[in-house]
Amino acid sequence: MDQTPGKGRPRIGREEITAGLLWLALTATGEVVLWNAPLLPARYSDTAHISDDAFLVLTRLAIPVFAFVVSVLVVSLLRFRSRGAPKEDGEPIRGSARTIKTWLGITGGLAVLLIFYPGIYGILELQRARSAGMDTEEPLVVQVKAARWAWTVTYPDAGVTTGEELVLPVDRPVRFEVSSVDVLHSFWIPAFRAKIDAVPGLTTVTTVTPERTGSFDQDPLLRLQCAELCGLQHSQMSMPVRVVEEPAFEAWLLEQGAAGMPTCEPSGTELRIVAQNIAFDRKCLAVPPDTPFTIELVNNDAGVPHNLSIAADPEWTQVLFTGETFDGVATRTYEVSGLPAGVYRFRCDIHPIPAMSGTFVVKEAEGS
Amino acid sequence: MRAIAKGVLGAVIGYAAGFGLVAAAQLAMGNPVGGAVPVVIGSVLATVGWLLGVGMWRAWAREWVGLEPRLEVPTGPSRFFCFNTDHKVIGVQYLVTFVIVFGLAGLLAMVVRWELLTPARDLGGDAYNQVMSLHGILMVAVAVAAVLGGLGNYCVPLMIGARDMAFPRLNALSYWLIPPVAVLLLTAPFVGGWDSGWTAYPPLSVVNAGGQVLFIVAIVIFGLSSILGGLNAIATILRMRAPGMTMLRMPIFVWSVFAASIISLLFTQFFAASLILVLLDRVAGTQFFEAAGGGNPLLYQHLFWFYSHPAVYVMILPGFGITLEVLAHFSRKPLFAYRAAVAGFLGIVVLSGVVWAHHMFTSGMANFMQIPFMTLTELISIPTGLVFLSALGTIWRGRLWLRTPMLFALAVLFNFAIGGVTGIYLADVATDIHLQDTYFVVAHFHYTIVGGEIFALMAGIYYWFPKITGRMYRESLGRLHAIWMFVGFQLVFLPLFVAGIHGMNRRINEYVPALQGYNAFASVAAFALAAVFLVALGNLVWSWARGPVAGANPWRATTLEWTTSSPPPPHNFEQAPEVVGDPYPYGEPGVVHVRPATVPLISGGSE
Repeated sequence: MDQTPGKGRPRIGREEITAGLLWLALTATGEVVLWNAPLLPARYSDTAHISDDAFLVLTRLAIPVFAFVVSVLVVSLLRFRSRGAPKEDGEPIRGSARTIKTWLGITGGLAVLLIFYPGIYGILELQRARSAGMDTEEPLVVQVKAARWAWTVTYPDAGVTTGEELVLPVDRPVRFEVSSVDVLHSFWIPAFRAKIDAVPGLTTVTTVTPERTGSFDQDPLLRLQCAELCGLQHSQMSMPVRVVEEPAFEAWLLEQGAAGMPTCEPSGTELRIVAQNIAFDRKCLAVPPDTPFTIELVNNDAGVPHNLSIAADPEWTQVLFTGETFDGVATRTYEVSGLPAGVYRFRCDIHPIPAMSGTFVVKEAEGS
Repeated sequence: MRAIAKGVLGAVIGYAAGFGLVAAAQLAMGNPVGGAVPVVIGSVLATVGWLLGVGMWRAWAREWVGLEPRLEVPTGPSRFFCFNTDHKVIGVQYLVTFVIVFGLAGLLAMVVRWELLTPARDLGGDAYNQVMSLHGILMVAVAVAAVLGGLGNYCVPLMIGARDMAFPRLNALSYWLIPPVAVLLLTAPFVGGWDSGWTAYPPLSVVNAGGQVLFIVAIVIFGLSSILGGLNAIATILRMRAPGMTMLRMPIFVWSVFAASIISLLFTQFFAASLILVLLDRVAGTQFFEAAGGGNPLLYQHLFWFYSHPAVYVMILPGFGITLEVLAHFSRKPLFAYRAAVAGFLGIVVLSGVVWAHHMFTSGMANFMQIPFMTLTELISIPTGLVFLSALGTIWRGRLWLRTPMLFALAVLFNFAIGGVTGIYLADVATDIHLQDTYFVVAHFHYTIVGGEIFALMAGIYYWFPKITGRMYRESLGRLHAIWMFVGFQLVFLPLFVAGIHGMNRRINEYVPALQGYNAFASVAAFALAAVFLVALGNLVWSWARGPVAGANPWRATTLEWTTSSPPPPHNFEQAPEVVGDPYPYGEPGVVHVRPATVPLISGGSE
């Protein structure tokens, strides 16, 4: 017995040196491989750089830790393995106070390092990125509304709402205001390494500055994906993201704003519209002026609430009628008093997306 | 088997009574008959009926009305199918039950991997979400109860020199609460299932199909079983130790059960409480989680993780315990830095209660909370590091006997090194914001819980198999199991880390085609991994019936359970053991754990 419990210094023998060399070799190999290997996917935003920098720092620190465990295991298996049942016992090394203190010093030091860098440093960097640009320029506000199982994005300054794709200008801070109308969802764009839950009753905010142009067609990381289980079509709750130059973005906004207001002719005062798969079957409804009429809303989406409302302006400040919201599958008939002649809009208030919006025309029927 | 039949009859009567009473009340008051309330009351009374029928009436409840309890139990194989208070019988009941549950949940995992072979959706409707949810909760149940309820029950009294657990009837109750849990979870798909995962976050869990209600009742019952089990283990370890068995002479596995039981006892109630609030939102019109009614969905997440993060230590601590136990005996060395390992366990217990919100960095909670929760979470690496110090120091300069248990124990060190290190990425806010709810998380917790605890469970099953059955398993097949499972496990879960980093989120059955490579690879590897369990099951079942007689101490191990016969007599020891020293007196001539006079003749090791 060359050691008594609680005393003595660890012996440095052949195995200790072998393990040390193996540890150095594994660590060096790991670090070199990490230097050259494309471990992380493409980055499209400032936040992506913060996240990935932290990832790489953690990996650099993880390599020697993991290499240490592997080195001890490998050398033990090679040098200390017994052929058949051991005839004798191992050395009764119980570990000295010095060993435990040294170990605590190293692991404690590592933990404290991780907490400050990349830990708290990364949190502060993210906070800085969130407020970045806000002093110098107005961020682009994008309201993101989650409803089972579709995303709707609204650009309130431009009065544009779409459920088709999320288009963003490059190099301009974007403030996402995320909300949910039903259950929890999570706003996640892998290309930005940005994620924030959509919580009913709460508007959560995250700010990102896209740094590179690109589109979902070129890189599937550029998508807005629901990352919180939300039921039946959770997997399908995804929307393409496209980052474009500022002029192209402005042009896109204009195009969306002018996107045709469909028109149609009144025929009678009993309207019927069907909501199915989070979409109305009609883009345009029409009635004669100053005449009471009815709207029969057929909601074919099981368990999903819909309604129908009519307003005079795209911001929905001058509401002319709001129908009662109800879950499918069900049918309600709304009775509406007469409206003055004009071209209005209708939508489902729960899902104010293009597929659930349209033109409401009030005018004399032709030929009357 | 008569007891089981009576239990089933009791359950049927209980369900009919519960459902009928509520339905009658509904009818009397002119309300529509049906809904969740009669099902809940029916399930609760069915559980009571089951317990009374299966033996609680005979052995226990008769006492409550002034009758003599009837404690005699059958011998032979039928002793496993009744309300038996012998901790060894209960341990085997737990082990066999959870091996079956593990198999079922494993089959569900195969369905998941089959669905994810291709980017397109194969399963229709809500089927995938239900399969994934059921896989999750069944495996959580296995992870919580297989080691603690199975090996903990079987080994702890033997290892501390006790005749039984402190509360034998409570122990039997803890076990017999499990079958209703399994029945409720497995019948949920017939009433619409539930699609909210094992986490059951509201508002989804408030508005989804009726199977969610059965899930809630099942978890509350399972929680009761865990709490009673934890209470029993703590009382046993504190009060039932043999003379001379001081706390610091206890085998390290006993310490790990003690530490995990503290968490079970203190925290399980929060999971039950959070689910009862969900149930009230569903059936009683409360609005704890309904934003429109002033509720807040984040409340649930705080309550839920206040239990469910500590719960991962309920899973892994006994896994660490088995690993250290096996490493010491199969390195033929004293456990290195024993006190540091104990301190590591207790440090983990303390920290486990103050880290829950690291699951919520992206939940919308106040940003400043990220700093304390990240800090506290990363501090857990320090006590965990002490466990690793003990493990690595124990094998170093040992005489490693590479039998099956040892192979599994060494694999735990490799797997948990990966699982632990990847945990840091999820504690770090900057990286977690991207990785949260991706396959990186899925791979991480499979590396810790499967790679750590389930590998340790396998080590424990092979290690104590000769003690439990009296027979030896076939070594070549055991080693094949260990190596195959180790390699297969790496091949399944390593690619999933990368898939997560590259944008594969959790709980989806349809994904972008760019991610197919990782998924197809993991799926094929998963099918290969699953096949090894057939080999293992064949080996263990065959050996239990026909294997060579093992003798009292085939490993020439030093702790108390090896000083008695295999399997041990009903009261464990022919003579009360007297403990005089350290549990691992290897390489120290003259030092013994148990006073030699009480040790029967030791039979030699095999091989």
